[in-house]
Amino acid sequence: MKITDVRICLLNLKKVESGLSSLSLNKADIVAKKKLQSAMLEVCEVIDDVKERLKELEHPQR
Amino acid sequence: MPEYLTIIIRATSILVVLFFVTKMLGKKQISELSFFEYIIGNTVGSIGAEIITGLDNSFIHGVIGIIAFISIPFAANLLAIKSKHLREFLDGKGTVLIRDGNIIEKNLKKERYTPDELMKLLRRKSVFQFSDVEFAILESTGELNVLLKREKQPLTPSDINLKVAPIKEPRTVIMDGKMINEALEFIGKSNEWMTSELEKLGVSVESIFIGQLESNGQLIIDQYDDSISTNESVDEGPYLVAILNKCQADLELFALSAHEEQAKLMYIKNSEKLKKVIQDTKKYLQ
Repeated sequence: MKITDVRICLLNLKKVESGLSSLSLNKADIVAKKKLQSAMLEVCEVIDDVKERLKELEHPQR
Repeated sequence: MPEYLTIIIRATSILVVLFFVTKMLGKKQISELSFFEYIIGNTVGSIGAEIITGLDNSFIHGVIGIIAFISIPFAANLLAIKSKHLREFLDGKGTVLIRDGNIIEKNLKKERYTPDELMKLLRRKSVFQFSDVEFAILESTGELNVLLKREKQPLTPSDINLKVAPIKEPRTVIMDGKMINEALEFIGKSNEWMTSELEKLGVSVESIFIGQLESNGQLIIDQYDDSISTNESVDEGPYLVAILNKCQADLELFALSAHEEQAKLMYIKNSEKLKKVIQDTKKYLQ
């Protein structure tokens, strides 16, 4: 596994996050809106974790 | 007063009277006249015509006649709301013409319908074979309503266990090159939002004949210039699902190749999380 792979994954996750947020704004149906919003928040948490991991990988503490 | 003037005055006042009196009877009249209501409508019309042109007759007497003719069915309708028996008596009852796939000849005869007429009514419902019909009822308005056999009914998403997101009615937000502010307000979008959306498509409001906003937030437009077609916008949903799937697979892969136990656990946890997200939102992203 390379650091770049993790970076690409992080990038994709961010893409998903922004996509979900813009879609949830446009939806007319309230339930769909809420579902997409909570999905966006979940993805946000994943992003945070992956970000932490990326930091560890980039600056290994020996 | 010259006669023609009298006629004009009478005609106008009868129009006004008829307008209010027919309003009183409600919307039902337009779409589903029962035979009784049909006759009342005709009679009221005739009385009206008689008052307007029959100058020898009293105007007030005619108006009283109209009011009497309207208020009786009005009262009957009010009573019919309360009593089922009266309703059946006044409006008539539906007659079952086909049950369990069999034509009931007795009822057909009772309603004086020929087989040809029955087939005609079926065809109006896009049924060309009577064997496709499980149940058919002739309503009191003369309309035939048909329940198809289960295997002949159109396939719906629930038949194939397909999960679909609910949709809302589309809103027409642009008409004749002008934004409709009430519609925009209703769905909670601002004029600025609309303008930026149009900028994304690269068109101006003035060049749009009709613009509709779909329930998934997509703007669909028709321009005055028919040689331009701008509706090849991509739906983002499936694209997002694909990336989400990829991310989830990536995280799983990282978990397998991670050396530290902690990192492994983190990857697995997050991959599960994404799996759940995909499951939850798939329906809305199609």
